[in-house]
Amino acid sequence: MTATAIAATLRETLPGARVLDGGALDGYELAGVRPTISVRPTSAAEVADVLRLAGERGWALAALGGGTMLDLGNPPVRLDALVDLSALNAVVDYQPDDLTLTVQAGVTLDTVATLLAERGQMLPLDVPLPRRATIGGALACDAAGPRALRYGTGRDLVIGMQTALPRQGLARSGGKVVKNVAGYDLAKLHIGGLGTLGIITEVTFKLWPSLAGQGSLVATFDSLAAAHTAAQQLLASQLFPAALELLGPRAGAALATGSRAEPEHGQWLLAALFLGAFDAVQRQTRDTMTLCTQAGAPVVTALEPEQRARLFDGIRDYGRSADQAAAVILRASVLPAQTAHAVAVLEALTLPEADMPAILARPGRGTARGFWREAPAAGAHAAIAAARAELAAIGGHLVVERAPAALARTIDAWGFAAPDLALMRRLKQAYDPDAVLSPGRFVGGL
Amino acid sequence: MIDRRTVHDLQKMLGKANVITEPDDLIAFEYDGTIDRGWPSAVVFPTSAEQVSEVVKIAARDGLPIVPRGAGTGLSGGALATEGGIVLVMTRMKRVLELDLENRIAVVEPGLVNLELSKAVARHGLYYAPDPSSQKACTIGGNVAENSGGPHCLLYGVTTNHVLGLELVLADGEIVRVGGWGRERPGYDLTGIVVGSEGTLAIATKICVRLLREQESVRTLLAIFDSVNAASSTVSAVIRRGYVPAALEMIDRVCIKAVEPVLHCGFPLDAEAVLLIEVDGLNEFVDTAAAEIENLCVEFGAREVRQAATKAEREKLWAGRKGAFGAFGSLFPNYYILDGVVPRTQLMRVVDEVYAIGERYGFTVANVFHAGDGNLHPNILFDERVPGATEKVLEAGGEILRLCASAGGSLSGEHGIGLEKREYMPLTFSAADLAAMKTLKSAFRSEPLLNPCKAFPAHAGCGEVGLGSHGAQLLAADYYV
Repeated sequence: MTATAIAATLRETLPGARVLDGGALDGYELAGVRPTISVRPTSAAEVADVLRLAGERGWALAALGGGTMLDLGNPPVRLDALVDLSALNAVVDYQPDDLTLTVQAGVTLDTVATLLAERGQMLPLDVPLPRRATIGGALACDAAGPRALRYGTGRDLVIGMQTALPRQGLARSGGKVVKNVAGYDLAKLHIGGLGTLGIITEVTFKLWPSLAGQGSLVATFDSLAAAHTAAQQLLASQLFPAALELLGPRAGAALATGSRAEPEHGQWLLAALFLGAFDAVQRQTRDTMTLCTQAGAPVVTALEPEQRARLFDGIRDYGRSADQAAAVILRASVLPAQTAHAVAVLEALTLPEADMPAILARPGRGTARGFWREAPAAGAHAAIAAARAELAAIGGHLVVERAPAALARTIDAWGFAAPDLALMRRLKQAYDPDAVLSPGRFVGGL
Repeated sequence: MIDRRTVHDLQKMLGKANVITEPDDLIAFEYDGTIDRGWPSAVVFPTSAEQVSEVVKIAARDGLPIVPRGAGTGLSGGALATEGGIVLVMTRMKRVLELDLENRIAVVEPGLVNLELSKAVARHGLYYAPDPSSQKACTIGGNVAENSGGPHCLLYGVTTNHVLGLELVLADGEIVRVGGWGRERPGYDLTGIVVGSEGTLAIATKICVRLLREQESVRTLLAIFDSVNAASSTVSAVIRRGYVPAALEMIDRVCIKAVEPVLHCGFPLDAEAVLLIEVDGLNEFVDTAAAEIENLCVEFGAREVRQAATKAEREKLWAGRKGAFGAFGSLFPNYYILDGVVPRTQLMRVVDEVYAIGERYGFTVANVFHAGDGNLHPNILFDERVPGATEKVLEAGGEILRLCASAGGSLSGEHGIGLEKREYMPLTFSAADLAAMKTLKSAFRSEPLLNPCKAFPAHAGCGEVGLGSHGAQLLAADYYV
């Protein structure tokens, strides 16, 4: 079926939905693959209709939220149309006294944050570019940010979900109460599932009260090892940072510029955020400053509220915004105590003809990201493969979160031989037997 | 009921001592924590994942369903062999296999008793957070199956928030690891799917959990009320005002009357309800939070608020809460516990109606529950020897479930759907929702082998007499074609 014919069918079947093609889709490549059409359903039922049609006609679809993470995953082997969820932008039900919120998938993180702030509440998902990023997209990508250390990720915050499934229409799991074991917890499949089993249409979250006391500090260290040791000591203590971020020299220089915490050449930064009762936050900030000094930090600085917001927002969005977009983003994951090892692997990863990477790591969760501004020349595969082998030796792995089209088309973004891949394949087969949803984009070519 | 060849093969693999088939022995596995019964054909005690895998293969070959079982403390009939078959008791797999202090994770076998894990890591200043009232007896494997909660899950989350990865035996006997011992791993979150699946998808043989650092300070408050309504509205106010205590529990008059004379935990016998509230964290936080919550309790009608001064006093209060169910025996021979959840703003109205339902049916209802989560545990007290009493209790229970559903809630917060609530699922899920869940089961190819006829409305093939030859054919079609 040609693109024109698909567009015509969609226009005819869903007269209310906007169907775009041609130049309107500039900038919406999925890991280098350019869609030819987008369709913008106006309801969850219409999303289900598009999926049903696609199954009948053999089209391949991909869901589109805010378009901030389209690079994630492998290039789909087929892609006929994007399903643009921006019209599903209603706040369905906000119950501040119950601390629960139900929104449609296309609502942006920023809209949610503004709404909740009025009632002193929050959804602590620090997703990059919150003005564009949508709830559905953030969950499908399992995007997480600094405060994941304390509040967990999507899987810990979602209490109910509605999805559109290729063969089965709309289906809900969970509910609107904070504790619920009735039925299979199907939302878990779609969080991090990259829209390959279904399209998220509506989500219910449990919320957290915003905490009155906030404090933060930045400590500079002369070596990665010293910074990492301090981080692990803090994590093993009875203090509980809401966020703990490790910044390599280049990331530190970019994000802490102009503040008193600005690192000298080659220094590593450890940034901690504390939330809670005022007295407890003060005590934690003070104790952590002492801990860092004793661990050898020459400079430890408490941050002013404005500096704090800028630093942690900067960490959240690093390498993603249009004006400072990284050409390559690699994410290494290991056990938390081995974060320094993952960082060292990224530091040593030389991409041909590209710059040295900026490093951001989350030592409490065992993740580290390298950001390269310049696109590498051919031959990056070998360097990435070597890094993967090193990480695999300690049970870790490396995901290519973003790469230029030439590299993205020729490397496995996941690089991960999941021992449970056969079971995952059975799930894909069961829910999406016609391979409608982003075929080939997910782990193991699912 | 069971083929001689099946028994022979099981005995050969597990040893004669680890296979039970005599009625006198089977009777101990006929029940769990509910009022239903189910008669197994055999009970087996594997000691390794390989043995579990072999049992699964033998059962599939011979058309016998498998019912995984931990300590048998379950409260939804999930561990009952209602279709006959093999009960797979996991209690001999109870080792702590790995303890990684640097990363604060432990890998354990499913038969490990919940509290034993916290005890095993206590000397390192760590503990395992989910704490069901039955934690002295219930197993981590059972907790995984039910996605169990407990009083302290209000702040720290339920089982699914603490399980990082699993080793599973699938319905074809394959042993596979899902999830990661680390946090972020690409791929579908199969760990998250299996936790809470009530033994219907796979059997966990290893469980990787995260451990928490013990808090610097813990404060337990006992707020005493002259009306249940005042206690309920205090709970709603605590949540509304933005406090998330570590625990927020309600215990009503009937329950106090059962517990206090037996356990002497300090609940005043003339109170209509008490709230047990715990805050933990740093000294500075605990002092402030305890004072603020105390004021709030008084503002909403508490006649008195006591703070436990010592660890011993605190433990006594908790002994009263966690021992409540056992103490009902001093009032009535039997109790039937429900597990509905409602939005926390609805607590007052729903709790009122729960008492009214009890009255209408002529039963005493004791409420002891996780108020902060909106997770009710009405206990209907009765005597099963009175003809018709059990049927009437189930009817009253059904009304309470309907009440929770109509308040926008859930049928179960932590006990599972199991056998007893399966027919109520359509109250909160549409046919399409249930079909999507069934698709998951089909992907695991676990029907009708693994804990059949549980957690979802019964279908043709769910009878009282086991799968029989029809079941064997179903299995054969599924596995060997």
